[in-house]
Amino acid sequence: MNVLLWLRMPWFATHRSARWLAVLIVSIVLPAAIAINLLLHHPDRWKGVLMVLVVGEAFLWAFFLPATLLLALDARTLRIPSAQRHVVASLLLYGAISVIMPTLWLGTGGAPPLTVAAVLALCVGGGLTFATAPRYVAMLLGFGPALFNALRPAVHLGGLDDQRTTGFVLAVALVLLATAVWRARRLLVNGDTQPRGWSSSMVLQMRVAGWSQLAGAGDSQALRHAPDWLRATPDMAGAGPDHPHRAMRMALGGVYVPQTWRGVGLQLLGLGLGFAFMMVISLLGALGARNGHFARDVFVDMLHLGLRSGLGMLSLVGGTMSGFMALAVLNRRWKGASTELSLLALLPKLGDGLALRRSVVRACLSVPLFLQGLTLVAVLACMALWPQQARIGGFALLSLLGTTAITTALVVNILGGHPLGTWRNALMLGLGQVLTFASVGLPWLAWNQHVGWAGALLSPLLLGWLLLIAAMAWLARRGWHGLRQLPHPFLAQPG
Amino acid sequence: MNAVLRATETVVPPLAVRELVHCYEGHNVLAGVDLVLQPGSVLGLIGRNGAGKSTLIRAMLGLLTPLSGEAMVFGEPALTLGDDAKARIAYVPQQPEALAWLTARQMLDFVGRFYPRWDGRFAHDALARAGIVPNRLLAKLSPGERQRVDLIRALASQPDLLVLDEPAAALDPVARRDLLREVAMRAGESGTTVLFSTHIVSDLERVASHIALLRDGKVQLHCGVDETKERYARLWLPAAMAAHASAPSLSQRRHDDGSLSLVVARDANGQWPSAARLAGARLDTLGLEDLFVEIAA
Repeated sequence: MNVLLWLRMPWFATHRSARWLAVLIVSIVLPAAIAINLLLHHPDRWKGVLMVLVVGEAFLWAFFLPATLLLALDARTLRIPSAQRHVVASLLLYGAISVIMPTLWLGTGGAPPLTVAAVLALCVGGGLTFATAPRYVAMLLGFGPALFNALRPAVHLGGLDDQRTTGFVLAVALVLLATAVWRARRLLVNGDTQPRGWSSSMVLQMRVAGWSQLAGAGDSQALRHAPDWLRATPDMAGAGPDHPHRAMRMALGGVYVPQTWRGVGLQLLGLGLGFAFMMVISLLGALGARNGHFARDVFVDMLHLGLRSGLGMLSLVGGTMSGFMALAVLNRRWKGASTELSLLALLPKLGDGLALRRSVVRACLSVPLFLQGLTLVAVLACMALWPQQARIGGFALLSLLGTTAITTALVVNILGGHPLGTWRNALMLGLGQVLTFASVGLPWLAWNQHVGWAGALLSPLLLGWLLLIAAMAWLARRGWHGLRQLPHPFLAQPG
Repeated sequence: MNAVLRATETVVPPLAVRELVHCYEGHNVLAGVDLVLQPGSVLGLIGRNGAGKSTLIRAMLGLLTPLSGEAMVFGEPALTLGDDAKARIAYVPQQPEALAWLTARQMLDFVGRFYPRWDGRFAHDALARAGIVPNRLLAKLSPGERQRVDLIRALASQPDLLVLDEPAAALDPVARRDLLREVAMRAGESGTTVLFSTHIVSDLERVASHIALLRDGKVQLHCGVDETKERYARLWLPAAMAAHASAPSLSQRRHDDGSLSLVVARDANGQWPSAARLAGARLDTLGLEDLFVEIAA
């Protein structure tokens, strides 16, 4: 028995970014759970703690711990003795820790141990099944919790206090665990020879996953594994010497590639399917609310709520997400011996001097600024839907201006030979996101809930945004100056 | 007047670098490289893995800023090339992974829009000859197929200067032979200047007119391929004489028995070093591959 090795196994088996993301999640979830347990004095506080733990464990079991299966897969391919056994032992150990430790902790505080254990086992089984199931099944599994909530009234299941709910959760957990074991065994037996695509396990995607893939940066490996019917359909019209910025977008790849309407439609297909699925769930909820009779008012309420939530969410994360997607592509293109950059550097008729630099900046900012424009429309739509919350909308507009300033500054610095690097970029965008959340949350607390301290923080928040925008303006100016100093704008950064 | 202009044009080398220095993480990859390509020549750049061949090529084309030195392409600074010079260059990198999100046809169509002498018919026919499905995504092609598409892209632009970084690395023997035939034909018929880096010495012998050997960040040897056998040889000295040998050499290797092997060159008068005339010394002619191994090892 080598418990230390089993504990360290996921650390060695995962990408650095996934590893640190796991550390971040654990370092948020654990203190939050402890804080809820210590600070709340309600007898049902264990439910709050459990929900926080569920979020953390679901993430770890879906995206972090299953990566050890890739290690087992490689060990099998390379005929390394006993490595596979250690991986299985590691997963079993983490499974036991994930269920037993929180159960003991919450059980001593008065929570029903069987219910806690069943919910956590559901997390373990659900996460592992998500990772080992074919991609299209995994996507549907993501709707599982919403579907369960919608169906609960129809099947007469109560909350976590209900013994029948515990039994139901336990049964689902056991089914999921059995499915995960079956899928994992199949994965290991088939080895790495199985075709990649929508029918292959999600965990196989983790081998190529990175920030750039997450943002659709156009990696060869990711493109190779995508099915033909889902591939982007570039719109070649106008991508030539007459429109250098459009030609550059074609060469940058990922989110920058100009698409035909069919291509745009395909990209929106996922969103459309998600919306359709949410409609089905709303319909089921509306049916369940009146004991099987369709309740139109409930359905309409749920649709309104969905629309508002969607627009609100887009307003909150649209600015940062568009910046993230653009930066992931540009970081990749301007790093090392990128072949697209060589091609662009030697391509005639793209222009020269200042005009070429302007074209490059225009091409690189066009997509994030367009997406941020769409976010602006979402914010304005929210303001129109909730006219009484227009003041909060004003803060949302300010935050959008801030994230646009951050995106512009970071993009121009990459082009100008002063890239801030992946983690600093993530830090800047993260800071923008935190300020965005604060820009919506604090005014809401101050003006709707009349929380005194929230009102007092509004002026510092405003000042914070103004300082950040000023800093970004300075940074963008530095980047532009750097770009003008370079012999040409297609020089890769070393490394 | 026209004759004078033409004469001026012909003396401008397509590629020239002087005192080129570049380093990565404190390690000098290029330590003062001087190299000039004559118009119409086919120069094979040879060197061990990590010798800096790709870095030299990239610096020559202005794809990176060297620490010092200068690189000129058709008489223009490589880092600030104009459209006319760019239109005369075609470069195929070692791993042609560009534009993986386009199909072979889309990529050739896209790139072709920028070159005034683009030969669309050649691109179409060459793609068909290579048996590459034009509507297949570049990302889904095998490395060899991808390299062929990029070579087609380079040749279809009808360049005056063709720069190939390890062009045959992923090609099968048939495709490699086709490529070499095409390169030799372009150089012979159209006067295209070619620079290609390679590990495969037989390719050099088949197609190159000149070779340049890169070692320790410098060009150790630059001459015509036909000259190598005449100009360079291996001088073997037995152990008893090895200590007294002071022959200028490109490389030397001491064997376990104390004997010494040196790669020596004829002097300006065509004479071998005096050590070659010592009793017991032996002079062996070297094939291109032996010469490479002796110098690069």
